[in-house]
Amino acid sequence: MDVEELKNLKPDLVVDARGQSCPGPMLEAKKALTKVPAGGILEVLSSDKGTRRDLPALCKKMGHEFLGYIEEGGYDRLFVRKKK
Amino acid sequence: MSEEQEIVAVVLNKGTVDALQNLSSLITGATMMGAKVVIFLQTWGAWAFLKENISKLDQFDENAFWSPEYKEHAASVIKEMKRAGTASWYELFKEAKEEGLLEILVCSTAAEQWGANTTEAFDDLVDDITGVFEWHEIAKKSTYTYYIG
Repeated sequence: MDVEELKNLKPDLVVDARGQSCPGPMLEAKKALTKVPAGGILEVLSSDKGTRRDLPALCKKMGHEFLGYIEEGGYDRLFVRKKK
Repeated sequence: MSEEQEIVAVVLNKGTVDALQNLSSLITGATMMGAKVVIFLQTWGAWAFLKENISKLDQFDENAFWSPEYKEHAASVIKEMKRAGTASWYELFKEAKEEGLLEILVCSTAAEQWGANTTEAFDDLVDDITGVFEWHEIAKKSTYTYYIG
């Protein structure tokens, strides 16, 4: 998805893990995914640069779809579609 | 242990805060990716997990048991860890344990070195005392093995 498509997404849940270092944002994301309905979208806010690569790896392993990320000032907005 | 379960083996022969804190990140990464982590505690790893020593390994305490070569940096590392919201190594170990993806075994020779004949002498995170022969079988099945010493 390109940035404009990501900006138009309506997440089912937003988890704010800004200020947490690795593996904090990943732990938050994994916990939050249990609360998102199948096919729903999770948005993760993270200031840890490793999340950009860690989250796609976790999604691939768990069967979720990593949709991409948007860079904001000092943090990223990362989007995941939970597997159906 | 099921045959399909991916295993990451760790030999830990270091009982310092800096080693445990970094190991906790590796454990979290492996377990979140679905692997089971099995740790084999040799001499100094076993020392760290003795009930009487766990309290000396608080990563947010400048006076905790840091590697001597890094101790002078402890204060600045702690400050940075607090700023970055770094999770406690013990809590990360505990979380992996609660998910059933972490097993901690003490080398029987190491246990003997510290006068510990049963797991009672160790922190609750420790599962059992075993020998290098069983460890060999576990490590043989692992995807990869870390040695931290």
